[in-house]
Amino acid sequence: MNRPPVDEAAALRRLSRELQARGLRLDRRAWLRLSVAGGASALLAGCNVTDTDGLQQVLRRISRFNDGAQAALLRPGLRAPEYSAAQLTKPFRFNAFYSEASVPEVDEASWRLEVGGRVQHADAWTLPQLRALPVVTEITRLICIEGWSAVGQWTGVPLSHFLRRIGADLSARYVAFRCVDGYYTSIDMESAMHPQTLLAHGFAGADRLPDEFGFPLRLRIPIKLGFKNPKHLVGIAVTNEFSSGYWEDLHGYNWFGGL
Amino acid sequence: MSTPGNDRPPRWVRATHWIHAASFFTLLASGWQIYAADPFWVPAFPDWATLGGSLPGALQWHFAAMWLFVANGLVAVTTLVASGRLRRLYLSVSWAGFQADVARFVRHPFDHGDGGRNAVQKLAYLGVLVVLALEVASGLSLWKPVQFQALSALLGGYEMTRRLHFAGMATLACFVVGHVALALASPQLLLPMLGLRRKAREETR
Repeated sequence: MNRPPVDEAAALRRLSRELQARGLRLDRRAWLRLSVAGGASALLAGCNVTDTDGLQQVLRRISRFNDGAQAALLRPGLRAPEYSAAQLTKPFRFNAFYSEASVPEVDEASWRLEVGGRVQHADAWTLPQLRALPVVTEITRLICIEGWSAVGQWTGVPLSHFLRRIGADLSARYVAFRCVDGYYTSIDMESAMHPQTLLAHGFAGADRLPDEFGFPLRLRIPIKLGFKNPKHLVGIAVTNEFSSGYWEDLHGYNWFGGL
Repeated sequence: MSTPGNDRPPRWVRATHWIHAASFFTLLASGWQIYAADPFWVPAFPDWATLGGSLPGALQWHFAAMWLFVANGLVAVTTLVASGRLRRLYLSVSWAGFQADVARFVRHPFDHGDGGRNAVQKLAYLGVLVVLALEVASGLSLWKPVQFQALSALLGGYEMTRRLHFAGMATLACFVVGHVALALASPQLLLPMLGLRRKAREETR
């Protein structure tokens, strides 16, 4: 990218001579066009263009536009496809921003889910209290932003039920999640109220989440990419303030992450 | 077209062609970077041929370029149909003409005859239009496999669609290799597409 332009000019002169020899002539406008084409291809050739600040800003702005496009495409009543037990992916694939050896081990007795923001009952919930709420079991496909997918079975309370139960302001724009490992993310209220969106505490038929899949409580939202399914939850807040998410802030993943 | 070799394609053909080329290569190079996050057939593509630096950057490029690619494609196809250019230049294929042109192509690959399109070229371009449509459909269903789940199911489900999207990419990439090689070997076709007029020797003689 930072090559002196001399090489390019020399190459163009050679090309011009060659073309003239074949009975072709390049005028000044033609030169200009070829230079623009050459510049564009040099710009795109293999180098990490995304590091350039201006371009980065444009790309982030388009990503925000894509958030809006996805919200417009979302049909709130449309359920993600569900699968049979025979279609389960075994073993289920682990994924996090750390290796499987570093999975946090949460002490159930001292663990609480803190509820805050625009809610009437800002309480802290224990796991038995959450388990006592009505549950739904669903077999859906988890699709990772990396491309792979895996079919799993999750059991939990629909987030829509929980939000009503805590007296959440359902006209608020976002539901934000905090995790024991420092991970955080947020989703739009419409997706939060989707019938398949669960606060899951059971996996693969067992009434307990394995440590590596988010014990004691995780969000399972089959209408969004895997990284919008935070594990090891410790906090939920209903809010009108945009708080993005871990991967979104760190690397510029698209926030909406809808499927 | 009185002297086909010297005439430039209409302005809208040149514009949509080069916008298509730019957005296609952006999608191709960023797609190769996205593929590296979870390869299934070939291991990975060389770094120098990719765009975005890593998965997040590549996804930003891919989901930005897709708008330009689709919008430009819609304009191009609409104009191709409405202007009659599609019918006149590409849908006019006969079986006898096809056989004759295949035979001629095998003997003289660079003989373009009177400058019009032969049957092999017509079918190649029509085929590419079909693959492009499949590539957009599979891309749309990978981007939104829940919202467009009927399309996703039609294409064989999410995992099958990933492979279809890859196969479509590979087909288009092969076409582009041949297309670019033939264009570079035939400046009398390449330069008019660049908007350049050929100073034909016949005129000055």
